[in-house]
Amino acid sequence: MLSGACKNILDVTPTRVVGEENMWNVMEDARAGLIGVYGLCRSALADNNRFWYYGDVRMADFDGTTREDIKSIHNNELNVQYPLVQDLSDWRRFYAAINAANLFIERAPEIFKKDPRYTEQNFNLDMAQARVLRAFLYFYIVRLWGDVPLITTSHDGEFANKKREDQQKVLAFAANELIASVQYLPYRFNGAFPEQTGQYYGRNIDNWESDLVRKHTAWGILAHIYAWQGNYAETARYAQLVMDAESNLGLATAAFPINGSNIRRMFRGEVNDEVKAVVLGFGHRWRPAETSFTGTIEGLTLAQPLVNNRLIQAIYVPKDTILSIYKEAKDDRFGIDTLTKNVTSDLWFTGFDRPYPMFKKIFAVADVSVQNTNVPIAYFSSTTVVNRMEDIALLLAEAKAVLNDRPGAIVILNKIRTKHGLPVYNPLVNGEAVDAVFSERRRELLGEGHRWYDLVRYKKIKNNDLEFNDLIQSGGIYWPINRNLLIQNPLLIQNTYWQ
Amino acid sequence: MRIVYFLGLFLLMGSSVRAQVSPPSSKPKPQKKITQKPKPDTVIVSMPVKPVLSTGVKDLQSISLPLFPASSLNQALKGTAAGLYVQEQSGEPGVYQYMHIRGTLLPLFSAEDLVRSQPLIVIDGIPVISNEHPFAYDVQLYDYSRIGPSTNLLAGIDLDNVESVQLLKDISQYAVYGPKAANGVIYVKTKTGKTKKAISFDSYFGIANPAPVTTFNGATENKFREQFYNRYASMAQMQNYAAFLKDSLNTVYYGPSNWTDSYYKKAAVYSINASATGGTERANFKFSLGKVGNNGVADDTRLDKYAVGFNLNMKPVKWMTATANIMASRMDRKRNRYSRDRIAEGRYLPDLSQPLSPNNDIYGGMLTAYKEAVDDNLTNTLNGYFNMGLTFGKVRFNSFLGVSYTDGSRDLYNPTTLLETIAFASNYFGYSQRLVIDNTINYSYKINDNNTIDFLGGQSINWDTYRYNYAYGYRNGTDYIKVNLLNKDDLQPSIFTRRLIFRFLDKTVNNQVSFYGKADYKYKNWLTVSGLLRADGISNMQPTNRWFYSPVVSASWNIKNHLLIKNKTVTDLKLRGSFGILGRNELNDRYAQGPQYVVDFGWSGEPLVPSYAGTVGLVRPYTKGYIGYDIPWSYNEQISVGFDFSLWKGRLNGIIDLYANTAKDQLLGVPGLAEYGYTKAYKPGMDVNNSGVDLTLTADLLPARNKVKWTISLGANYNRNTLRSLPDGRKSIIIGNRLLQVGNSVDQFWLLENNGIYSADNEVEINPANQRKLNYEGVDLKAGDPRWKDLNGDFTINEKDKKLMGHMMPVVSGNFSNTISYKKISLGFDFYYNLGKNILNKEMANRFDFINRESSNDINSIKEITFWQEQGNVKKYPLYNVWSSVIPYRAEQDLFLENASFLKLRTASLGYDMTQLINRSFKKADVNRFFIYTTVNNVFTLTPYSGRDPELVDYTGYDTGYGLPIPRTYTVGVKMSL
Repeated sequence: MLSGACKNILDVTPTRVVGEENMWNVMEDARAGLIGVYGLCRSALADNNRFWYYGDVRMADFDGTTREDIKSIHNNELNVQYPLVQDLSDWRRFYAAINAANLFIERAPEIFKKDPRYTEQNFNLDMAQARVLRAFLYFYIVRLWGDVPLITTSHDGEFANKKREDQQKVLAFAANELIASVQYLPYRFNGAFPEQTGQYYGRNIDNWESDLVRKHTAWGILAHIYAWQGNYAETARYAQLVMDAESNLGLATAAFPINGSNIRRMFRGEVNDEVKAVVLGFGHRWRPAETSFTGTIEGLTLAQPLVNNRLIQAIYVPKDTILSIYKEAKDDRFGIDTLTKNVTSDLWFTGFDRPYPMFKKIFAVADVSVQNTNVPIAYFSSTTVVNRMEDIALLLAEAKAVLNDRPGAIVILNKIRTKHGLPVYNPLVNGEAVDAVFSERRRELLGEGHRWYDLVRYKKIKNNDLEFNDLIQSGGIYWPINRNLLIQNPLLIQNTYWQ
Repeated sequence: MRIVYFLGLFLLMGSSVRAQVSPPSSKPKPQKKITQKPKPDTVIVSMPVKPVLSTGVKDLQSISLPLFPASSLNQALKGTAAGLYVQEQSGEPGVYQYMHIRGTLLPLFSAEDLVRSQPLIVIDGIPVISNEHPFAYDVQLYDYSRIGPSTNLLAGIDLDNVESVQLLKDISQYAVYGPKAANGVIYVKTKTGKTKKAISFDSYFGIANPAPVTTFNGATENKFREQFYNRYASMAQMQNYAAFLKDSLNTVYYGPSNWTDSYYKKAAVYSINASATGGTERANFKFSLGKVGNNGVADDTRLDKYAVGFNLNMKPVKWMTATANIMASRMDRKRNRYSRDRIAEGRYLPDLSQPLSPNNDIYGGMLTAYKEAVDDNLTNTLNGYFNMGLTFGKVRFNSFLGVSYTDGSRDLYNPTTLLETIAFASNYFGYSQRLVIDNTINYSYKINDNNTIDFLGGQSINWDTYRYNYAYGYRNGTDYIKVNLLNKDDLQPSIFTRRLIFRFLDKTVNNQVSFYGKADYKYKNWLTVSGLLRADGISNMQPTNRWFYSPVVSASWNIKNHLLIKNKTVTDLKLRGSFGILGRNELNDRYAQGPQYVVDFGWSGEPLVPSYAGTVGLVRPYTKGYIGYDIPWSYNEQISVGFDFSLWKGRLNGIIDLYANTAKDQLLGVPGLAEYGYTKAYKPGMDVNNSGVDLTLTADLLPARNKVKWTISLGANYNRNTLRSLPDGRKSIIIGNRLLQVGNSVDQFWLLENNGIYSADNEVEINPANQRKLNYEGVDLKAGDPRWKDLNGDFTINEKDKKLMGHMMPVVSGNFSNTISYKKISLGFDFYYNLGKNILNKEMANRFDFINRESSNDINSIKEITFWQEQGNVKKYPLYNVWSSVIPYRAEQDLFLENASFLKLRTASLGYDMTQLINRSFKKADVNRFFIYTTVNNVFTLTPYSGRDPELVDYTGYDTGYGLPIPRTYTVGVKMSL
């Protein structure tokens, strides 16, 4: 009796954490686990706003206004001591998401065995999503660090330090995973496709589907992986599959490509056509209070008078850069009359007359009407869009241009150009097709974490910039590995360029 | 339900034993007290006090509380006993304060570690909750202060109601209190009922004076910065000159710097306490009431405390005693107005490029915004017990039921004028509750005249519950509705918009079951040997390792009684020794679960995003760290030897204690596993040792016949902290800015050695091997960069060139007091000192590192109003290139490390005992005591430290500039009993 009583007093089930034995049992656990992987992906990209520092600041169009650390990133001086730069060279958050995916892939089959409600379709669909996310993460970190440790199981409790794996092997793994997963993924989560019938986890999910991985998401990542490897035939193949999916996405032809003003609705994640153009994105939704002060680009790019909490924004596109990107007056994104110097469209930039023009293409601030004010609380909810239809379309154009299908490239290019009020492609004005495609990518995808990777691909294609070639050869296009990681895992070796 | 079993079982056992025992004669074992002999009118009734191991220890010496207008127990105890170190990181009344007995047994990285290293406070046998549970830090972005009222619970103790305080430093003393006592015990005994009808009245009134400060304005700051701009700035950097300093005609920053008029004020402190006792030998009581008001000298801070106590003793029959005791307090705290703390709670970072104005007209205007603000901090504490003792001959049963309960609430509303146009509100309510049942059976067995054995068996259960509800929200617009984020009836959002309200509920439970047995053997009057064995199970340990068995043995040899009976010089001489093991309590319930899942997918600056796509997800605790299975108990292993001596009829008394205490197999979060997503993994195997000596000497300097008496007493603790081992047999582990290295102390700074400045590029050393310049992790050093010492000679400055130096906690600390008395007048001087302590002057580093701190616009960019206060000497630092990417003014270099030893005259007092005078003067007067006194507190501090008061640092050893000054206070007081 006594020992029973003691056991009773001492066996306390905590309300703060879920123990291992209570985690992988029922279908709701699968949902929690899978959402966890998504959440960690979002967290990896949002942390320290790294998605934009990696893609839009490093040797790209955005520069720091006053901060020395941001200027260092812009100048590719990545071994400086600033805490921000040190943090960005740490890959832990990506591996947290990878570990969560590994765990899910290992443990979800247990739920499938235990819980009859967890249907094979649901199980396969969940597994495919976890695998696609894991493949995406590996692709993402290969672009940042080159060779990275390839860990595909959780190693739970028996963690061992791992060496860096050849990046081609990692990319091959990612590609295989994506190819293997596509068959289980639907185009939409509205129950209309054989891969997902009825309601997904009992929810009307189509409000949120742009936050989830779908069939064309996997294709989109594949297209980018092959482009990064320079395998443009495969890029063209998968990018084309994404383009062909258009009719299945419920994306009205009128809405696609998205014009300069509707783009904000896509980032806002409202239920509308534009949001269907998101191929891979991670939402910061306003309704379930996933909004935040940091982790979306607005925290970097906005200042007074659009929001109150910054006198000067952290990053901006210098005027010269703006003028060199948006050269054509009729562009609805941003246009300036070359003669009168009057701004003809300021949809994406405001305050061009000030020292630091403000980038407001992405401006999903918490619902103004609820906040009773004109200057809202700087609490942001824009989706982190990794890939969208226009991005994949231009990637297809890029592939076609490289593969010498110049007309094919120009058709796509013109579709986007005309949507922005620009005249059709003219080689005399816009240069070679490849150049025109990359210029268009730069204009269209500004502030969406693409520029740095586009630049590397472009320089590889052109192969005419000695300095940059040197950077590519010596590994200067990669990030240094954070010193703490090197100390903690002696098997890791610093990228040679940063030694 | 199960509790009933226990009680029932015990009572059953009791009655069966009763039948066997004959004449009731034994009496409760009294605690020895040095301060006061029990007066005949005192009836010691029921003794809830657990007898500590009676040997191996100096018979416990009571600490006499000084005449200090203390607002908390911590403050009252500071500098009163060897081996007790009290850290007072702020002079703000009622804030958290921390104590360490004989150093810390774990490295202190966070506020949570600090709570884990705190001693147990026992009040009349109740192991009280003395700290709010640190689990609330889990939902906070910064741990500067805990959400809720964050009031020091030990400020709730009515100090006038305290009869004595004892410090249980040795394992043989504290082991009876179980795993919670593994950091030592501070035992507080309150005043009990007496048969004599008496009314007592204690009161003091005083004035606290702010110390004069030197202020400066924008012109000084501008001049300070110009040096850097003139020497190093590029055109672009010139253009980014701090906006607030650009216009020298701007009176906001260039006007008079007279903000101190609004910030520092003379403040009143007072205490009134009254108590009444009365009753008979069969039943008596004490009732007390007290009010303490403690105003801070800075920032309009204040603590109001109301305390009430009731003690009832009964002896209905000869063999039974019963005591009921309740002590309750209510504290209302008015807090500081630091921008950092306000913003840290709100998380919303406003534009921080404009600091507060040093001009009182403007600063004072800003303060009027606080008139619209609400900040109600209420804390209630209640400690009580019911104790019943049954004595049947040599057998004595004791049954103790104790409760320690505290709750705290904070209603906060910051109006729109304080944070751009955004109103912030938060509501907190939390409680902590401990229920204790403790049953003991005591049996004295006298073998013959020379040999006696006392047996004690006991069993106890503790139920701890901690819980809080917390919500915060933002709103734009008006200040019409201030608090109440949620409607009371349906807990739905009221006026604040639903999507900008964030709610947190948390609860944690920790239960403990213990069994213990103890035997004291006594031979003649000169030898005692004791042994204790206990088994403890706590719910916060994993089921496979739930129980821990702790043995303690101790012995004491009274040499005086044995060998030196006739010696005239030696009045008393005793040798003691003890050895023991005691399991350490674990505060956190996470470790009991092994691998686990939590909601943890926030990111830097936004740690608490609960959902993705509107759905809650669960992940491993990647940020907190991996927790595996087979986590063992950590435990203390202590060995000690001590002498007590008394010479020349007690004119010289001394106690010397040598100890070596090791906390073994402690869990440490070891950084690593980044490729598995974790920040760290919790692993057992950290052993930390504290070895040292406590010395207490008391001497009467003048002969006994002399009318003037002069007593000096010196207390000193020398403590050497050593890290003995690390998990996985590692020799060193880097954790953040700190290095734990086996063989060194856990409280050391890990810093670069600074040797000046490179005034030209060609002064930078060149590696002859590859012609590469000395660099900082790849960035070449240039003119204007610091000359850091390349310790390992590899021409790269990195963590390998950092050295462990200094100590965050004092190596030697203690007190020195003088009491001079003549007839009824007494004069006292109490000094307090710390030696071998260092401070890293972070505030100075911050002032120099203005470029990085201001541009980042994060929590470190905040400048408080005290920014405009001259502290330290800026002239003694080299002028580095503040824009350099090697961060020349990083705090982690010995440039900012200073010796912070100090000697402080804490109290000078003059007292006059008027009892006789009054009784003589008024015939009808029947006064027991009438004592008046006056004191000056915090009279002066001697220190080589160039910054502020060297006490104003927190556990990290960094002087951040935060913490309100500890004021000099003048008081007059009276203690009377009628």
